[in-house]
Amino acid sequence: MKKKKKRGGQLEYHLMMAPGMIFLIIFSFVPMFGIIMAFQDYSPAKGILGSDWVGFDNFTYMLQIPDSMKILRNTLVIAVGKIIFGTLVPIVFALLLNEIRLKWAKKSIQTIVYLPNFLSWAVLAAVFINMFDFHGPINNFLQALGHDPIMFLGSNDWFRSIIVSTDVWKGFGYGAIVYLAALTGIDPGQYEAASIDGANRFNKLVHVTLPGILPTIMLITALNLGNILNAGFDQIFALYNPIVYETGDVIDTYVYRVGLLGQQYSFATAIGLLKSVVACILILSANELSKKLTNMRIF
Amino acid sequence: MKKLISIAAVSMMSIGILAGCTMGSDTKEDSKTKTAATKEELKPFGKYEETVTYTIGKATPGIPKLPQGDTYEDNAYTRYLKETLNIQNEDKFEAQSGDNYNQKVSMAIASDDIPDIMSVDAATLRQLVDNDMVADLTSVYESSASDRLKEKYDSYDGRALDAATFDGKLMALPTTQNANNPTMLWLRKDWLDKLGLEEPKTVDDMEKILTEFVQKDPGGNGEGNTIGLAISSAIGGLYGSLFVADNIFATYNSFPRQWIEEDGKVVYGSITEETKKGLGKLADWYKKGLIDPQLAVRKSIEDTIINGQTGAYFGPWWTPDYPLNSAKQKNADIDWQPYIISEDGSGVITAYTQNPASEFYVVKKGFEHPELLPKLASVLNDKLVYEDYDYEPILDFNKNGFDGGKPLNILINYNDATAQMYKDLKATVDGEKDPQTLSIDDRASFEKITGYLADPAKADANQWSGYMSRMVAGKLMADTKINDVNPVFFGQTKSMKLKWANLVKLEDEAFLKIVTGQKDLNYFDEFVATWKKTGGSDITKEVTEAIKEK
Repeated sequence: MKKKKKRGGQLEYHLMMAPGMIFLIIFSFVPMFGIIMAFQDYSPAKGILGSDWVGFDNFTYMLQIPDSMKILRNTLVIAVGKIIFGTLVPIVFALLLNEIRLKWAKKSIQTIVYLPNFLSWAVLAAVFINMFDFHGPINNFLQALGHDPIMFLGSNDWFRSIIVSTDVWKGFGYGAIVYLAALTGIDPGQYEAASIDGANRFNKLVHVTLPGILPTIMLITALNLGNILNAGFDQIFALYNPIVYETGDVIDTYVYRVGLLGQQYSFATAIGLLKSVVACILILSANELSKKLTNMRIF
Repeated sequence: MKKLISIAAVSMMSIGILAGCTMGSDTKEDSKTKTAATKEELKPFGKYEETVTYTIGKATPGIPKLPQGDTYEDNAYTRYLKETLNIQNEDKFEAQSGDNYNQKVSMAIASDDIPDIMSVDAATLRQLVDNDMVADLTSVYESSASDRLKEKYDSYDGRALDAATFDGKLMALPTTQNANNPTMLWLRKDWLDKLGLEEPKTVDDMEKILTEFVQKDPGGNGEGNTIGLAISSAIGGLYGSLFVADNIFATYNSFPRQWIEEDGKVVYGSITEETKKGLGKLADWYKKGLIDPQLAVRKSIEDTIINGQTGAYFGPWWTPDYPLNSAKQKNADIDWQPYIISEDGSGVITAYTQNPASEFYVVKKGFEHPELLPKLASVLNDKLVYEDYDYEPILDFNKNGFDGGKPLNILINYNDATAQMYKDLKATVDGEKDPQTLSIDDRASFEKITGYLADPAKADANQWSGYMSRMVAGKLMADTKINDVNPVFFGQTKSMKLKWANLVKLEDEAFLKIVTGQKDLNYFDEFVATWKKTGGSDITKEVTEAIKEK
């Protein structure tokens, strides 16, 4: 009797997963057949089954043009930057916030900083374009300090930094929520014990708090790795312009522009496939690395 | 157990919803009974018995202006079409003409879900034809285009329709691009006067003026806020457009983005030594601060003109209607005037001409009323212009400066239409021609012009723009001597399909970087080498062959 009940419980859980699985099949697995477009001269009217085959033509051309390496490099640099800073900043912020003892101050700071997470890039881009404008507040400030104004969004030196920092700014408040939750889960007894041993605030941070949230940090980072090559289409698309293609054009924006706007579906698919291959290699190696360093692995 | 059932129910429901999302579309059309048009309905101006609803891709103007309460689907023009032909447009998508519109078209084609009628460019037309997505209009053009419409097309010696003809079949109705040449330098005359400067004749004059504009800030925009010359990030090579520096390039005999013949050989204009010189000039001006320093990141040049920041730009004769009309509305004291500048100040300039057809209207394959397009084109370009020219609602619509009413901006006109327009209006203003004989567009212009002439000081923005574009810029265009350079190729070759988008990107990037000084002028040679290596040479060969075959 007892056994039967247990099995029934499992079935329920499996059924609960069903919508998610169906979603995954329809939106992630079925579209994978579209990859064959990369080996065709695809035309929308003939469809995937009817288009002409061209073999590796699209890939050969991809290797020929200088753009391919450029967009691959940009994608990696921007994505890695976002992962590093997008992980560190929320942790530091959560730790700092945790030290604040005034409850109302803590709550209001928390609310204020996670608000940007709910704004779309279309809206934020308009704000940032004005902020970074040649005559915008940031340049006014620089000029007041005696600097020459800088064309931030039209400069290959600045563009990536701006993409990474604005992305971190948008997401760090929201990201900190998980860490704050993890922090409340630490046994207060440990702090008391540390105090008795004569630890000061900083000692407690290093020896109690950080180890306490380490598993959460590892988990979140591992999950973020899955997104490593999604460098943020909507953000970059809203902020870039031809002059920063060199440093700002990532695989997704390139595929959109050349593939959809330039109507070269097959070529764009080939480039998109490159992204998947690279992402796969990266995730596998990150997994191995994680196992070597911390003895934890995702799969 | 109850719990289990409810969970199962929920998951079944979600499957249903998902399936509905992915498979539910595209069944509607098949159930519609196909009704071919009757003989009466096939006539150019024949009215349908039952209202025919057609979906379109609506290209909206950059600065939307419709009367209060009107929409793109319900305004003076659509009501007129409903009255005359009993047809009603339904907008499948609406997007600002230009990049935004092209984006929507690309998306529609990619998802194989195009509107019944839409406008596309030459490359897209070829793709649609190759993919068998658009209807053959050969027979409906014969039956349903009015005589005058055919006459207008014929005034191009067949060149216009040829561009839309594939294997002897007419696959689209092209709009006709009657001469928009030359583009002119538009300058803030009130700033010139304020600074006590002479009107420009040469490129050097222009440089001096721009320097003064930027340094002395006659508009009172605050230090560093005045833009000398506004240029779009495309830099040059877009025929008859606003904000491109084609006039400057032409002084060096450079014709960017055009296939031209040089010493018997076909060359792509963007990679010539002459273009390098033109870019060098612009880079020099940029360095001196004469060109908008933010040109790469500028989202709307129109805004800088409307708010009085900009001192000069290049634009065609019609630019008083857009965007100067809005600038005048905002500040009645502005005085924009057109000038022809040339290298030696002689007023004779060089300019490239264009394919008579640059925009094409296609009908979706399977749409049951393909004749609707030639009929609509006939009514808008013939009946409305020559028969119903005194139709009050549309006269009012135009007089008040509204824009975007026509469901399709399909403009078909005689080859010499712009010159003729100026002649007609001039004769009418001089009292040699009866205003009643003017076409509907010209009559709206005529009323604006007389309104302006009655009291120039009190004229409103619409009257001012009507006068400036038709009488001032129109006259300048009619009077200027132009050495025409005729590009030799407008089509698409085989390799272009895969490689052209990348080459265009390369070109955009290189031009912009050179002008804004991120790369020095010698980078141009590197650009040319990359351009040739990554497909440019192959395409040039194909273009040469394509021309030989003709």
